[in-house]
Amino acid sequence: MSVTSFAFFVFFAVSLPVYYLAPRRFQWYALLLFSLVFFLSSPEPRTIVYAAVSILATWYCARQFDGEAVKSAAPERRGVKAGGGFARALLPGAFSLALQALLLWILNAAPGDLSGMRPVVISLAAVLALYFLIPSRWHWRLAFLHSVVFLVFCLLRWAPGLKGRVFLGAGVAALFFAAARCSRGRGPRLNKKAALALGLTINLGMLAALKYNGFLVGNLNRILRLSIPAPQWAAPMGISFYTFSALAYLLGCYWGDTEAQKNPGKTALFIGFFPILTSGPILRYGETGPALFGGRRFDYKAVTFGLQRMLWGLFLKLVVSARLAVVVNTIYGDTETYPGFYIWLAAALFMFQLYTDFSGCMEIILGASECYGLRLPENFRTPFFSRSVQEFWQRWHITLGGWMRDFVLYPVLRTGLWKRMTKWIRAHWGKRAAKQIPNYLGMLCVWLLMGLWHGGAWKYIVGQGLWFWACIVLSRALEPLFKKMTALLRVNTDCFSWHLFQSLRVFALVALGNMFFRLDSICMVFRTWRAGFSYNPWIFFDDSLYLLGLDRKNFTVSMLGLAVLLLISALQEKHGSVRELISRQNLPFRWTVYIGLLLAVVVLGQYGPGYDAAAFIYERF
Amino acid sequence: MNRTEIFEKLTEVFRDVFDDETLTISDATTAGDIEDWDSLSHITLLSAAEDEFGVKFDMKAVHGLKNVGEMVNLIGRLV
Repeated sequence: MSVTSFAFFVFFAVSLPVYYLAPRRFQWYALLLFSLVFFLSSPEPRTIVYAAVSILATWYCARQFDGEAVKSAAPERRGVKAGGGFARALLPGAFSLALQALLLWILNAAPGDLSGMRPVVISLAAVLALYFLIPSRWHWRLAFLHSVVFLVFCLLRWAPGLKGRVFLGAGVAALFFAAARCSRGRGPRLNKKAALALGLTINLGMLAALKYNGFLVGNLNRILRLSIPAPQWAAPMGISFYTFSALAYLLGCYWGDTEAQKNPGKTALFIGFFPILTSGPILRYGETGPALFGGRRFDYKAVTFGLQRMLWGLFLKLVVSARLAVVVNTIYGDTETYPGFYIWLAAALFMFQLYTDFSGCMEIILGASECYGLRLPENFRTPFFSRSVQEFWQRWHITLGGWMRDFVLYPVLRTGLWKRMTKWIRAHWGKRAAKQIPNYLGMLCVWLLMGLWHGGAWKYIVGQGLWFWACIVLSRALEPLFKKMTALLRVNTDCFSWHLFQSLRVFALVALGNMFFRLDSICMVFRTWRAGFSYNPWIFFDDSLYLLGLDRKNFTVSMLGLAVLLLISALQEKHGSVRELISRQNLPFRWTVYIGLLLAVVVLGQYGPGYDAAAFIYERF
Repeated sequence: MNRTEIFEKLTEVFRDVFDDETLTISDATTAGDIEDWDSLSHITLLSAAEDEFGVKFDMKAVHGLKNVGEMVNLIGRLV
């Protein structure tokens, strides 16, 4: 479900009191349940199985890095082997069977009709018989296998519809329950490198198979002149976000930055915490994990601040972004009719559309999390005030940039190959080159992946990857030259006008790169750039702008919305939190702001035909 | 190698990496105090320190070092 949908707000309104009414030590169970429901509400509920596999693999592999945990599990393992843990070993299977029986009885079987129960009865009998026949050290394997079989059975038989969703949820719950029990029993142990390789392979393999299968198969066909059909698998909602959170956790455990979580349910909550499934942010276990499990008392300030933040997010999405999308779609949909300055207007407005869409979604996600008393990491820090492209990416999608730095750039630059290359360059081309070239090549790896992260298509690799890499590398390499030029021309580089010039330059460069993001192909971008060289500045003065899908009133509203956004951004840049600033004002002012914002969302929000308020640009990533 | 010796050698590493012969460092010096100390030069700095002291930092150290003082302490433990 989208975070601007009516269903989400009903879900949120129900879940919040449930969360605070639950005893603190059970609150994380409530969050886990909400996440399960959120996953199952997606149009493709079976994708929860992919997420479950990813989570369980991450949990299991991370546990292998924890030497102490392995040692401490030993007495319990002995207990199971000695027979004292028979009931405990039986529990996962019993849990799974009980769920199957209960759900089938509630949802399927009329009184006296046991036809739907037959597979359950057979599996129950088979598993019980096997429990008595096999040695106790095999019990955990049987329980786990039974959960998996149950899940596959659910998938095959009841995937669509409400019943399917309930069964899938029960299947996943049984799987995690089995995993939790297994973690206390005897299980295979892997060495650190094998566990890391397994965890990375499963996570990256699923990401490649589910998100990039079309790109991989298409390029393979093109290179080898084959005609393999690309599989039409549905990628789970937010797969990039939760996979990157999972990889950060896995690598953090491997490097010793993070302690491995013993409980698979807690690992599932960290990786699959429902607000992040729409558009992130990418989480780090050390920052967010413990807060998720600790429980919270109701805090009036946290809840009201969270609600204010959600309202601001709705304003950005429904009032500003939804309107700008209409203009951008009209111009980019027919660049022959709308050439010249229309193109550059669309490029500029798409920047604001993308920002208000993505940051609006982020405000709702972070606001909703704040209502639960959880502070997730920020993803934006007034990016339009950046004075270089590099700084822009330190303020835009911050958690992705940080992830790429810590888990791609640093490891790549620390490889033996890079160190040898640096020494070779220093010996042959000098110290200055040795400081720059290896770093630029490391950045190339990062930016290629940044491009690929945005989607499996060359336009993303070029426009969201290579373009920004080139901008950053050129600006760093030419920095001494620029410094000499500004000194020679006696330009004051420490004044508002120069900072404004720098910010506008960054805006233009990023807007050009984002045309690759928005338009269908690289060829289309070049055609559009060419069409941009028509001269028609009068469109800004002869009411032409009101013929782009928005009438005068709506166009004015979108521009006023942008003005409010820039004002708030300027206040954030200067004072930090604007909500804190408003909360220090007198009551009439505060409530005028809150009610004004609410009215703006209700009255000016775009929900009708021609708008897709529920869709976010980043939600299928 | 005592702390003073590590500091002296590390100062030379900093001056070499950041091309500034007047640069001075203290325990509390962080990336915010040196203009060119960004994510890229951070790795260059660590690699230069590794070569200078003949040690190897693990990834935990790469991510976790908060200031020069922590770097000196870490080098002290490794040499």
